Amino acid sequence: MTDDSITALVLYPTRVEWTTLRRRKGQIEVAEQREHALEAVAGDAEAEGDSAKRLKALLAGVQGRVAAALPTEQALLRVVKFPTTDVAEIAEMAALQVDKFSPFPVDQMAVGQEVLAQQDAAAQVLIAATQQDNIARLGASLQAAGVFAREVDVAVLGWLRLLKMEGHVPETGRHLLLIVEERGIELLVVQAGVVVMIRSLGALSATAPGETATEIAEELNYTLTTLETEWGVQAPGELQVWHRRGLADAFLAGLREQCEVAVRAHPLDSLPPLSEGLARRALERGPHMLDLAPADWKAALASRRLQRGLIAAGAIFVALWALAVGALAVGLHLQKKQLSDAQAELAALQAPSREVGQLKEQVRALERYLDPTFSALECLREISERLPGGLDITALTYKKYGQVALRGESDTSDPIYGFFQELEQTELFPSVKPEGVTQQQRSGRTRSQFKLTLELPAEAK
Amino acid sequence: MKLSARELILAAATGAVVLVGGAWYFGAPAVEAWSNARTNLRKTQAEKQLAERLIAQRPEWEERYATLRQRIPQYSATAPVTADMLRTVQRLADEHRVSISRIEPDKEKVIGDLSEVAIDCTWDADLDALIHFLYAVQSHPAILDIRQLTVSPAQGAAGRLKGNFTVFFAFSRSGASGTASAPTTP
Repeated sequence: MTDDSITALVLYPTRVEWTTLRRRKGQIEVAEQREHALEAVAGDAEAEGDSAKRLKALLAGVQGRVAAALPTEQALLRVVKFPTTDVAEIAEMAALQVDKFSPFPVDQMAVGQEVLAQQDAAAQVLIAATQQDNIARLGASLQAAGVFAREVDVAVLGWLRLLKMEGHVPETGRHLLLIVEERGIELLVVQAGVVVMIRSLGALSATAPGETATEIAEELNYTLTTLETEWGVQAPGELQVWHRRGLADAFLAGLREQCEVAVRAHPLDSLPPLSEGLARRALERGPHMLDLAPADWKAALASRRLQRGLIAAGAIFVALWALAVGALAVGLHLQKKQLSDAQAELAALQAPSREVGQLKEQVRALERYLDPTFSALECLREISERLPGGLDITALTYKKYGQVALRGESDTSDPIYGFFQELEQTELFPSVKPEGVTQQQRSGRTRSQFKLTLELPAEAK
Repeated sequence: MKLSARELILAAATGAVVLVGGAWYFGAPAVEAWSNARTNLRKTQAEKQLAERLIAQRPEWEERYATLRQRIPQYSATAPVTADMLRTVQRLADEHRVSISRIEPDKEKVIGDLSEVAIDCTWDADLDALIHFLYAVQSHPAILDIRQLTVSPAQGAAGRLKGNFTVFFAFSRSGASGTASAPTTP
């Protein structure tokens, strides 16, 4: 699975859900979406081990890039304005802010930030902080189940992504969104389409939902008051309550009765699962977005990927090596066998072939006797016919299938050259090689002497 | 034991080097053997093709040999062929006024069932006699062939020539009875 697909995983106390998104031909599509119930863990080490095994079996198919979600109630979330848009500067400023609002020392916290909006040289930034232990616990749970997450998001941001995607976050005015889940209740205040506050409001009381509604109504009123100082006076449009099916009527009735804004309830089940919202965020993730995953997780993942890559490359290399060695061994064996077969066949052919060779030699020998073409008589005849007057042959050496060497003399050189020319025109001698013409004084007379070699065709094989 | 990325890469590279090195060390002789086997195979196949081609030509050579063989004088296994041929050459020379001052036979050579005797002679004659002698040798019913001839002027007499020639005589010996049966020889 490549980085163009991503799985977001949400671990609830009693269930686990995940969504795998894939980018194909520029479109994002849901490759897999699953949910499984989990048994509640008793708390002892053995039970936790069994639970991890069951979870591992369920998540066996989850591979590639994985983003996990931190429960919202475990995170401190603040939306602030920074007079910069530089991501590095924003990170430094966020750390300073966390030092102010966090009850824990900042060195024990995992801090992340997300640029929600930018205007001129200022940025509206969501700061999220959680104890490093929370991240470590989440990571340990997932690793026990064989899942190595690369990114950690906050659950409520997944819901916000889904609400925006489904068109439930108005682009104008101030609106309140209340997400009521089994784990807890989160309040989001959205202004001009951008979240300005996120608060965890505790869990819904199963026995006294009306009391919870009263508490939330008070918190809402308080929140709206505090918002005015930082984000200006603006009457909220409505309160959207997003809840699971089976929410107590008393809770909604209490909210409607005690809140000063219109309350509209929506089932959470009408939205895609939270994991899809988180997966979409992960697929869009850039340096400006929130990620609480420690750097060593990424390093460990890179190391694992490298290890897997090396193992795969090693396996391919060894397989190719084995193939090459095997091919060499088989090829050598086949080559040797072919050679021995050919040698055996040749050995069988050698005796009859030798016989034919001998026969051929005998025929050649006989033909040598019978062929008068290059006989001594023929050569003498050819030479005599072309011999000009006044030129004397003083020596002749004839060698059949070799050459005829001539020596001669004349009063002048002209007949010699004429003799050479005449011989060069004959077809009997393939090559005529004059060896030289010399002048010699003899008995007061100048005599021209020559040497000549006439090549005869070699014996046919 | 956890290995860092650098250590992993180094380990993998070392493994690859060892594997390739080992393969090279043990595989190089095999590659050479393969190469030699291929060369030998090509050579053997070429020899085989040559032998097959030669065998395929057998009927043609047999036919040619059969035709030529009819013209070869037949002698028994122990017949004194060399003496007979010396006599023949001497007679031909005498008939054409070629004087032979030395006549020397070589050893009988055997090629399959064909035998060959070379006779080396030193001669002395005029050009006309020499030409007639050569013609007589060439047209003689026995298979005679002059393979080597030297001609140079003889001292003392104008128009007189001298030199050497080597005449080869081909015949075949058949049977082991030792009786001569040379119907074609004069």
